[in-house]
Amino acid sequence: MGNVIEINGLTKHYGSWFWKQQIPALDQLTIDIPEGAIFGFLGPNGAGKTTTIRLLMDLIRPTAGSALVLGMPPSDVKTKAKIGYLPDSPAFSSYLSAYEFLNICSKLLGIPSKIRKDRIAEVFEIVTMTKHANSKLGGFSRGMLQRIGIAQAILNKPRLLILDEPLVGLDPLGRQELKDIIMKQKADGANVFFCSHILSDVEKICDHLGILFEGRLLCSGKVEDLLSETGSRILVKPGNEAIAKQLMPEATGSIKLPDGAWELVFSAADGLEDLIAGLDEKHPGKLQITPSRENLEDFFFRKIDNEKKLQ
Amino acid sequence: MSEVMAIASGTWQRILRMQVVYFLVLCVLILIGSAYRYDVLSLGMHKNLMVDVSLVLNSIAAILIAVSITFEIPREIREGVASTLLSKPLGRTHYIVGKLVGISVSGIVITLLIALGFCLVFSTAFDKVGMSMIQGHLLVVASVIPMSAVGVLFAVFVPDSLAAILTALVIWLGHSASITTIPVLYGGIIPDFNLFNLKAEASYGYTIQWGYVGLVILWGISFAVFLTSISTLIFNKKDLK
Amino acid sequence: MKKSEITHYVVMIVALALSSYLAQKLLPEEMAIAKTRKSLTKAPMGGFNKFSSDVQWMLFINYCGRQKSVTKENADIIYSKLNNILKNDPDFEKAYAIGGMMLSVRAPLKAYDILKRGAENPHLAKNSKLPFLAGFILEHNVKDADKADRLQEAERMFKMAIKRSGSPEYHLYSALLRTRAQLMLQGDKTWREGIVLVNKKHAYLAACFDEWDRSRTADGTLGAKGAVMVEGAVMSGDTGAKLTKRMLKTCQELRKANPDEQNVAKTIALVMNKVLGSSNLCTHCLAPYNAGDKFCSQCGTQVDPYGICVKCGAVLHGPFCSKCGVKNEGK
Repeated sequence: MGNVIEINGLTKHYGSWFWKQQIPALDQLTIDIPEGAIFGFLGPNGAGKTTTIRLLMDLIRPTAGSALVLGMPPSDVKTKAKIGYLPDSPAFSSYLSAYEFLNICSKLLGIPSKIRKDRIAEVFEIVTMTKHANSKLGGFSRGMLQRIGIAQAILNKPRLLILDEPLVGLDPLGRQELKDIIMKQKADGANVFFCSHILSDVEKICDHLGILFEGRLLCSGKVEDLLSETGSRILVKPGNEAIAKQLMPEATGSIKLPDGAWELVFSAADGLEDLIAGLDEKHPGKLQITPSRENLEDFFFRKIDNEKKLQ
Repeated sequence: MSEVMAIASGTWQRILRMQVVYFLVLCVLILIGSAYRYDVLSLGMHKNLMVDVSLVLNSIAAILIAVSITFEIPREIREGVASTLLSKPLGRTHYIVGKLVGISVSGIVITLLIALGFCLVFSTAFDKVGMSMIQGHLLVVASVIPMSAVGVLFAVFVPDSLAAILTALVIWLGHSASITTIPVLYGGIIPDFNLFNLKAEASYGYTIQWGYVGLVILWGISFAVFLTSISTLIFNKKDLK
Repeated sequence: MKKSEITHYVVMIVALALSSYLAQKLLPEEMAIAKTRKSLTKAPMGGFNKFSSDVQWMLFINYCGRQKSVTKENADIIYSKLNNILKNDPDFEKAYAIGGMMLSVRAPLKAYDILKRGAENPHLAKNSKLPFLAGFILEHNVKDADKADRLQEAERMFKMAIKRSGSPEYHLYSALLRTRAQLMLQGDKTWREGIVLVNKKHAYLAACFDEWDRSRTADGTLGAKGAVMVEGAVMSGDTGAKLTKRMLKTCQELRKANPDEQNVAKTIALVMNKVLGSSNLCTHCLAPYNAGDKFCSQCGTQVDPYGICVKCGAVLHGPFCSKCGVKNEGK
């Protein structure tokens, strides 16, 4: 199976030629996104997610490095016929009606005029905006614009969907609908690359993810592989408070249970396995050690915290 | 080509839906018609005055349309509309050319409307419209193309307000006779919009050859192509929001 | 460099070359249509020179309406306003004419300057009024400039007016002759056959005779219907007759005013002989007399009667005498 996106050492510095000062937004990003994946790109604000997406859409030009999207450089115009893109804050020509806007998009996408009307009606149906088809975009709310953004992105039945913060601005129902749309696109054979702040949603729909921090990629891979890089949960049985207190500095969390037992949470870190093995030998029968699987949120924050500590 | 037309139609629709445009056309026609009442004030020169006023107001309309593009493109870039459109199989050159075509067609239609309105008013107030008057208006209509190209050029690399000022300045200077003292760059890099300016000659009914009109239109298109190729070179290197 | 970029640069260079070529080609054509463009103000008017001129014209009319008359004080203002109008529209015929006439008395040199610019404007090359007015003002109103130069310039203006007028009216012709007469009085004042011109009237007669002589020489006669070629323009039908009549009248006036002046007498004789030879005029006062008259009705001098029957002396009304029936021939 090939890669839909191949990024190699992609670097972007912002700044004008006039002022010599350059602000790095992306630093040596190298990542491959395999065919058939829903790839979630995570990172705090300013991490470089949107910059990456804009580089992939050829909206901005890299300072260094290269990328291939569906096997072609981002500047290849024809490849864009196979891509659907939703910008982070969708804004469209406010004087046009939703239908007219999609009509222009479909002309740009080269959708034959015979099927254009039907296809536009179909995507309106998908994003549940049929009744607003003839309304002016200028009067649309953020959520409605987001739906139109999705509609224009899926108009050409894209092989690759690139979505920048697609869940922002939508109500819970809308978010669920959008997740369904994404899953439907995936089922129809589309690859999805998106970035989001809403980690719980990402966890639900992504099978691959990458975390970006200050322009650098901290990790990437399959969600199950990344989150299996787990921590451990140690239950210190009642009456062994001294052992619990001894372990507490190493733990990422601790809680005293009503029966007097202590539950200590250890996140994945170097030497965790050795520590656990030593404990078991040192305090036989007093500890109950169970492996724990972090959720995405914990994983994300741990990665970011670690990075901050390293700095 | 269909991509260019798609972008052009978007711009065309935008202008078509601006009610202020119709209002302006109406005001212009009223002003042209009012020149008829200036017979005493102009000591019988009201016929000439009407022709000149119509050409001047039509020129101003053409300039305003050309300047309007300096707001349109930066706004689309700022708001991300351009990014959305350019995420489709649309080259940046096509986008710029589409914008130029859209604004030029809109400008041509509006200035033609004014010219037709003038013909109607003049023939009602005086007599048959002279050929030179039609040619004078035709040149104003054609001047929309290179003037819009100037607007597009500034729109792609300077902020909108500054682009509007620079565009108006270049159009103004390009219409000023003193520019002809720079013979080498004249008409090539420096625009010679005076080629389109035969207002006085049209007012007095001097003979204007159709060959001249044709060549001037060709110059306008050629100069617009030159400016647009510079605009796209700049735009191709530009980072978009 | 990518192929598309190379194409881009090629298009740009070709478009630049084409637009430069076309602009250079169009410039002379533009100047041929807008002949006076080079004389426009150098101030950047953005192509609205004509409109600016129109607005200034209406303001000028408004200003003039507030003035009681043209005085030495406001003449400068009027001249300046006219200049501004004409700098923005050098083809404004009415501004030249009205401006020139307004300034003709109080500031004749300024009036002349305005009218001369109008007369020399290539777009107004058919206008005979402007050079006529310029010449007229120069001849009549300008006192302080060098007389010979002024008259020569006036003559040039009158000639221009006549040339431009397809069928000039007699007043143009007359003005030219008057100016020429004044020019003849400059210098040694000697005319043909050693005749010394004694006064304006005498010079005028000489100028008229010269013109008659020149026209006759050029055309053989004064034209079948009295037309005369002057400066290439065909005069109106009765101009030849008017010129002759004018000469006769001048001769009469001169004879009356200068009865003993030899130079005048010589000139009158020349004119009488060449121009009025076949006419029936009193030899003393040059008044015409009728058929059958034996004495001049104006001065009583005996005249050579004509139109009488050779047999009975009765006045003839046709080829045969109505009194005696004799056929008369010639007389």
